[in-house]
Amino acid sequence: MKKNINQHSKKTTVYTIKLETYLSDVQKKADKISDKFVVMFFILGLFLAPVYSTWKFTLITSILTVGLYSIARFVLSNKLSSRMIISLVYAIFMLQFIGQMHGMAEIHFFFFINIALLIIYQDWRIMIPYAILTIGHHGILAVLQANSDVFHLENINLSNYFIGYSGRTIEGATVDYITSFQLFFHLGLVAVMAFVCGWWAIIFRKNSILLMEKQLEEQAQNEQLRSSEEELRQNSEELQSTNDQMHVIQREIEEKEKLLSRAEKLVKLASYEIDLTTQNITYSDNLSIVYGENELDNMQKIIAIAHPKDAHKLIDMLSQATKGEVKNYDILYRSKGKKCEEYRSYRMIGELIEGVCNTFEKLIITIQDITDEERQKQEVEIAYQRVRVSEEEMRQNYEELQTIQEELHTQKQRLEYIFDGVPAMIYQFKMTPDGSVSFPLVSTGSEDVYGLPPQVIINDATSIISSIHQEDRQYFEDTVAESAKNMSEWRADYRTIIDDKQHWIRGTSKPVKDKEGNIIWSGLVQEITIQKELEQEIKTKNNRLQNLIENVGDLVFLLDKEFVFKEYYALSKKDLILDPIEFIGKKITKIGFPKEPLQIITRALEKTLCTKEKVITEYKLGLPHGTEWFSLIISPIMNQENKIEDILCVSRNITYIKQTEIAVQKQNIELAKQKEAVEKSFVELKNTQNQLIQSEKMASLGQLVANIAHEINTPLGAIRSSAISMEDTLEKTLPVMLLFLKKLDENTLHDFNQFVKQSSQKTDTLSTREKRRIKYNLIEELETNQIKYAEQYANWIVDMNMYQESDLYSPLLKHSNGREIIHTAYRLSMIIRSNQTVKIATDRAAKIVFALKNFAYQDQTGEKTIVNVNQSIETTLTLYHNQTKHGIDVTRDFGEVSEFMGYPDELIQVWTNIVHNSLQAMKNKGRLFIQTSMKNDIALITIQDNGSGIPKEVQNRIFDPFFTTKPAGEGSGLGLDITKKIIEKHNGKIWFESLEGIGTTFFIELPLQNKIN
Amino acid sequence: MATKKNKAILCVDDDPMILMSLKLQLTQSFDGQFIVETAESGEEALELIDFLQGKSIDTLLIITDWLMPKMKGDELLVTVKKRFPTVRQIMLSGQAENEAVQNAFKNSNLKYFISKPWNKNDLIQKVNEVLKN
Repeated sequence: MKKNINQHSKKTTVYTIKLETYLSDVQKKADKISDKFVVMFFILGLFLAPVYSTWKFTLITSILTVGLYSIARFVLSNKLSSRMIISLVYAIFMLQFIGQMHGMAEIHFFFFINIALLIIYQDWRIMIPYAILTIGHHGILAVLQANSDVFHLENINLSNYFIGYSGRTIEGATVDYITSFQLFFHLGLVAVMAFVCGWWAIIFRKNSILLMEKQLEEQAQNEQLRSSEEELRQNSEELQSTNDQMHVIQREIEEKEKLLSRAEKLVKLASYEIDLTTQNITYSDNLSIVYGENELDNMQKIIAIAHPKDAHKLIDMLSQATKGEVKNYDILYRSKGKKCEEYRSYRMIGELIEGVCNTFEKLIITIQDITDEERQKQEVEIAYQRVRVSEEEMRQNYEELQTIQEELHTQKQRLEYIFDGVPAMIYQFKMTPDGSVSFPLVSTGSEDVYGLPPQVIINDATSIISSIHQEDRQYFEDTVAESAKNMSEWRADYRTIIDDKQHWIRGTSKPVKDKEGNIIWSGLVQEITIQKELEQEIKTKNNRLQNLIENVGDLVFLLDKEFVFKEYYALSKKDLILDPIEFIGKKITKIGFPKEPLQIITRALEKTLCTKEKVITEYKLGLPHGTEWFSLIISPIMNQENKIEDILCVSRNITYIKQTEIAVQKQNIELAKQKEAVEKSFVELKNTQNQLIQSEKMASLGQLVANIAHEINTPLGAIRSSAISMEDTLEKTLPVMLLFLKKLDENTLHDFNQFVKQSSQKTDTLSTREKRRIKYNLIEELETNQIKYAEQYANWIVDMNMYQESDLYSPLLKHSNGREIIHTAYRLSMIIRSNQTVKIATDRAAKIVFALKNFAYQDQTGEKTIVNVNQSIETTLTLYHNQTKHGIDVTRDFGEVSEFMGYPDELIQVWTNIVHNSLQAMKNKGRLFIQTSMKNDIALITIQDNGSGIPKEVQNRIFDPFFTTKPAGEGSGLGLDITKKIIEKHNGKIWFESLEGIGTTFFIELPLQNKIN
Repeated sequence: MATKKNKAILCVDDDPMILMSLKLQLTQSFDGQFIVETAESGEEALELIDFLQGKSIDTLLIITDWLMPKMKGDELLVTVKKRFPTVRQIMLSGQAENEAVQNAFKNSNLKYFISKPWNKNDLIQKVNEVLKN
C-alpha cells in the first residue's frame, strides 16, 4: 500500500486553466459586485440631478447605462464583449456624474473609483474602452469648447460637462476654458491610470490563476492521498477480518483439539515426575504398563526406548526444562518398551514445577498411549479415503453420486460432533479374590454412561448392573469374568438404559493384580451410541455403495500393492469371469489370465503404482462364447502418508461398444475406399475435360486453318498469275524491244519514256465502276476523234492509270506506230504493276503468317510474358479478316492500354472465341465494335455485335463447360468456359449483356498487374 | 482486228488483286477476242451487264467468286440466269458453302466450279469449253 501511495504521489499532473473560462468565471463574481455598484451609481445619479437640475441629462445617461448594462448582463453574459460594455457603463456613469456636478474637480475621483472597480474583472482589455471613452469625451468636448464659435455652441456651457476650469475672460465674460497643457495633463493621467489598472488586472489575474492551479493540484493530490488511504484502510480491514476469521478457526481447532485430547487422555494414562537435576523419575503404577517396560527409574531409560527419530523431542524437552525456558510441554512421540511388539505412539504432557528460589527442579509428565486411537483414526481415515476414492470413481460416471456425496459431507460433520462430544467415565474397578467387587474411583462421566452419580457407584458397585440393558447383563458379566480370569484387557460394548433411553457404551480397561490378589481394572467407559449408529450408517452406506456398484454393472476390485485381490464388488457372480475363490487373496499374475491382457493390466497397475495417478486402459479376453472387451480404470487409494495403500480397479464390459467401434472402423475403411474411387474417377474426368479443352482448341484451330489457307492462297494466286503474266509479257516484249526502240525517233522515244515512267508511278485509287465510266467515256472520245482500236487504247490507258495525261498519250496515239508504242508501254507498265501486286500479295501473306504465328505460339514455359491487348486483338482480327471483310463492319476504338505481364497466346484465344461467336451470331453480316480502354490500372475490353443475341433462358449457362447452342459436332461447348478460365487466370472478369434480336456485348476487365511502364 | 469488239467476259470478285490476276490471264489468252470486264460485287456485275448491253456488247461469260459482301456468288448467278439467260457461268472461289454451290448448279447456268488457287491453263481450258457451247 505504501508503494501505491508513492506511485500516486509521484505522478505530477499539471493543472492549467483556460484563460477565457477563467475570465468568465471571474466575471460571474465580479458582475455581482457590479450589480450593486450600478444600482448605487444609478441612485447617486438621482441624488446629483437636483444639484444643477440636470434631470434631462441624467435621464438620457441613466437610460443609456441601464440599457447597456442590461445587455451586457443578460444578453451577452460572460463574454469579452459584455465586459467591454460594462467598462463603458462605468465610464458613462463617471462622465454622467462629472456632467451633473458641472465638472467639479472632486467628482473626477469617480474616474479612479470606477477604473479601480474594473480591476476585479482581472482583464486588462476592458481598461481600453473606459480610457478611450473618457479621453474621447474630454478631448471632443475640449475641441468643441475651443472652437465653440465654429460649431455654434456658444450657448452651451460645455465645460459643465467635463471640467470646470475657469479660464480667461472673453469680451468681458469669464469663460471656462481648458488649456492644451491642462487637457494633456488631464488625459495623460487618464491614460496612466488605465495602464496601471490594466497592469494590476494582469498581476491580479496571474496570481489568482497560479493560486487556483495550485489549489487544484493540491486538491487532486489530496484526493489521491485520500483514495490511497481508503484503499489502505480497506486492505487493513480485510486483513483484520481475515485475521479474525483465522482466530475463530484457530480457536475452533484448539477447542476440538482440547476435546479430543480430553477423550484421548482418558485412555492409557500415566504420569511421573522428573527430577531435573538427577533425571530420576518418580512414577505411577501404570507407567510401566503404558510404556511396556519395567524399571523406568531414570529419564535416560525412557529416552532409550523412544523411537530414534523422536528421542530428540524428549532431550529437547529436558534441556528446555532444565533452563526453565518453557513451562508446559505437549509432545507426541513414539516409543517401544520391551513388552511392546511395535512402536507405540504417546502423547506427553509436561509441566514445569517451580521450586524455591525460582529454580526449576521438577517436571511433571503425563503420558498417554495413543496408539490405538491413532490407529483407529488412521483406519477411519483409510476407510474414509476408500469411500472417497469409490465416490470419486462413481462421480465420474454418475451424477446421482453428487447427492450421496453431499449426504456424506453432512455425515462427516455429524461424525465430528459425535467424536467431539463423547462422554466418558474413568474408573477403577476392584475385584477381591473372594469375588466381591467395588469401584474405588469413578469419574463424573458416570452420569453420562450409567446415569448414576459417581457416589452411587462407589457405594454399590452392582448398581451399574441395573443400568445395563437386560440382554447385555450376562455378556457384561461374562466379559468381566473372562478378563479377570485371563488378566486380559477388558473390552466390551454393551447397552445401558438411562431414563428409558438406550445408550451404547464401551468399556475398556486393563486388569492389574495387586499384592493381595485383588484385581484392579483402571479404565474408561464411554458412550458409543453415536459411534454404533455411525457404524450402522457406514454399513448402510457401504451397502448402498455396494448396491450402486452392483447396479452400475461395473466390476470393482480392490488390490493391494502386490496386486493381490483383496475385495470385489459385482452385481452377480455371473459377471465375474472367475469364481471369487479363484482370485481373492491371489496375485493377479497367478489367476490364470492369458498373457496379453495380463501384460496390459499389470503394466497399468505398475504405472498407477509408479505415478500415483489414475490409469485407464482396455483389454480383451477370449472367453468360451467369444472375445469380450473390458475397460479398466485403475486408481490408487492413498493412506495418510500419501503412500499407496490399495489399488482400486473398476472394470466394465465394453464389448458392445467395441464391436460398434470396429463396425464404424470398417465402414470408415469402406468409405475411404469409395472416396478413393470417386477421386480416381474425378481425376479421370479431369483428364477427359483437359482432352476436350484441347480438342476445342483444335476445333477452333481447324476453322482458322481453313480461313488462313484461303487468306494465304489468295495472295499466292495473285503472285503466281502476276509472275506468269510478267514472264509472258517479257517473252513477248523483250525480243522485239530493241528493234522497236530503234524505230522510234527522238521525240517519240521521249514521249514513250515519259508515258511509261509516269504510269509506273501511278497507283490505283478508283473503283472498277469509276474506271469503267472513264474507260467508256474515253472510248467514245477516241471514237469521235476517229481513232481506231478505241476500245483497246482506252483499256490500256485506263489500266495504266494514265487517263488524265491526254497530252502525253495524244501525240502517241497520232503516231503512225501509235498502237505498238502504247501497247508496248502498257505491257511494260503491266510488268511494274504485276511486281507491285506481288509486293502487296507477299505483304498480305506475311501479315497472315505473322498473325498465325502469334496465335499458334504456345508458351511452353507457362511464364508470363508481355501482353499488348490492342495488338493481340488486332492479331485475332487479322486472322478473321477473311470472314469479316465481307459484310462485317469492324470498328476499332482502341484506347491506350499499358502493356502488362500475362499469357498473350491465351488472350488471343479469348478474343478468337468471342469474335467467332459474334460472327456466328451475326451470320457474318453486321457490325462488330471493339473498344479498349484503361482506367485505374484496369483494362476494359468491350466486344459488341448486333447479332441475334443470346436467348434469355440460356444466358446463365453460356460459361458452363460443354454448353453449346451449335448443332452437334460443330462446337465442343468449351469455348466460353476456356475463355472464362483464361480471364480468371489473369485475375480478370468477363460478363456480357445481351438482348435477343439486338445483339450481345461482352465486357472483359483485366487488372494490369505487373504493368509495364 | 479493226472491228470493234462486242463480246465480253465479266469477272466478279471483291478482291481487286484477284480481279487483276484474272484480267491479266484472260487478256493474255483472249486478247483481241473479248473485252475483259471486272466488277467488285454482284450488284456491280448486274449493273455492268446492263451497261454493256447498252453498249451493244454481249456478255458471254461471267466468272464469279462466291464469298462476297452482300450478294453472294450463287445469288448473283441465279439472278443473272433470270435476267440474262444466255450468259454462261463459272464460279471461282476459295470458300464456298456446299449448299450454296449446289443451289447455283441447280438454279443457274453454272457450268464449272473452280477452286482458288486456280491453275491458269485449267481456267482457260474451262473458259474455252464453256464458250464453245
